[in-house]
Amino acid sequence: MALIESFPLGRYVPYTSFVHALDPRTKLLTTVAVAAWVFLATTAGMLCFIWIFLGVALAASKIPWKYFVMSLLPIVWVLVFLAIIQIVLEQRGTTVWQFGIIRITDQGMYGALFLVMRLVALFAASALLTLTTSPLHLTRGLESLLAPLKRLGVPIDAFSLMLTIALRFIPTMLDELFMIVKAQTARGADFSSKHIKSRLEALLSLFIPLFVLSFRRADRLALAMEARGYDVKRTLSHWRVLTFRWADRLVLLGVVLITMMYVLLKFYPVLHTLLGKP
Amino acid sequence: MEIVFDAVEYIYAENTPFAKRALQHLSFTLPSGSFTAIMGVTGSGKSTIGQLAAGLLYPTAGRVRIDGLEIGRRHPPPQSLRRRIGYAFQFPEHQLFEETVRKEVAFSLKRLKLSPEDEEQRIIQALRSFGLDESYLLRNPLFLSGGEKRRVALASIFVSEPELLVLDEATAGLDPLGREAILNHLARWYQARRPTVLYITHDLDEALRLADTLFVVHEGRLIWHGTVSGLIRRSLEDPQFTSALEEAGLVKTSWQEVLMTLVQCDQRALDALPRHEVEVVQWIQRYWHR
Repeated sequence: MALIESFPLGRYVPYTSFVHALDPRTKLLTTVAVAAWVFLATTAGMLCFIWIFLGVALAASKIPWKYFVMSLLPIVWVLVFLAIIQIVLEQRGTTVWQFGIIRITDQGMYGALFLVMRLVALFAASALLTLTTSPLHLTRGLESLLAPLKRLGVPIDAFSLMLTIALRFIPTMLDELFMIVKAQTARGADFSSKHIKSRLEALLSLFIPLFVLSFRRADRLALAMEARGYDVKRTLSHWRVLTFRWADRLVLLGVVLITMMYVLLKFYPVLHTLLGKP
Repeated sequence: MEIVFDAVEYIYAENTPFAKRALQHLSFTLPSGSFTAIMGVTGSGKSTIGQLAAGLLYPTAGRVRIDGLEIGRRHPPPQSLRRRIGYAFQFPEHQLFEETVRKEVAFSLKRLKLSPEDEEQRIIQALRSFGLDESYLLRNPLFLSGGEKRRVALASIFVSEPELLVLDEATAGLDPLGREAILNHLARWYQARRPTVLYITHDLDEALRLADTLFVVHEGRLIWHGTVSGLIRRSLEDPQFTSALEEAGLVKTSWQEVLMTLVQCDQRALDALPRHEVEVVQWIQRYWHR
């Protein structure tokens, strides 16, 4: 249950910091860039740089690192599962350990380590984005970045609204799940039972109320928005207009430079050999 | 089932930026077979006390003992203990999930391994006691009205006859008739079985009508802990106490005024305070019509 309370995605921590003060577009573009770096990174050095970059961003955001690390715990089992698959399936390289048909190679272990480092970096970047940007700002940023697509008839406003609502309700749904777990535990649902049937039954008792509550909430939300005059076809004016400040320009310049460097490192083998292969 | 709180503290989302202290240094004992009402404004920590007492939350600091067994993160309550505890949540939507009302009510009976006939009988009895007849058995609980859902949720808790019953605003959002039916059933059920009851409510009248002991919680602290007659006596003697209660959200009700007037006229009323209007009339006839 502690994991439910600490899950970071969609939870905005309202602090005053350099990262919080950045324009949402800057943070969105940086997150996309970090995702690109993660896929362009081919050496340990390139991956470590992304980690250092995220570490600096975390320090600048003033979010307690303990909370941040704890909030990564929910994905540990996914990572372990993916790492095991990578280790077992990768058969290239020298054998480190063999048991029957299972053969673990050094390449497989490196691959698993890289995979975990990549996924943690991706998750950390998106968590940092939602922890430092309120859902409202995030939508505004997204709307502004995708505005050119409006000319092609893409419903950007509706799309960004959907995203905001999804992000906004992740913590609410987690709180609700927390309540449902307690309600079903009180009624005798055994989530730690040794019998798989009892466990599955207990899990079913969680998902049905959660789905029912989510659909009910969606319905009520739609009604409430209509009652307040929301019309997706109308262009909304904004009280505060997003503006790029000097800090945003500097951060974006840095991000562009780093991205160029990663592209060069990825596609120019000369530079690659200079910095060393994994 | 006896509940003991010893210097209990509880912090939600501890070690996160969202940490919120809900309870501070709380100590009390609920004797077995007592009926206690917990009162306070929204967010004062009432539900947290209920969930700690039912072993659904574990204290951040201090000790909680349920029936002599210490409960904590390292010592979660065993299933055998959980089975003896019933908790009715504020929103029935959190617990309803089966396809039919019958299955919903039978959920907590599964572990008792009753014969099909006995099980059916207990289900029907539980539903009837909350004013629902057999026609509800095959209906989908998710498509019932708010009041009906609450009654089904309560029936599914009462059906297993728990020894500790925690009711978290069990009558919130109900129409007056539905509320009356639940309160009457609860009073009868308590008289017949004498379980330990923790009744969480905003309504002082409900608390005065049902409970023997009252807890008033304000900002995670217990500002009053005593019998109902003690509260009435203190309200008469100490006007400052009344204003302290009002600060904690306990606005004086007309029923409280009736009880205070009765006690002012005759101190003997404190020995057995009337629970409702009929009992006041009976009391007057017994003592003053001679």
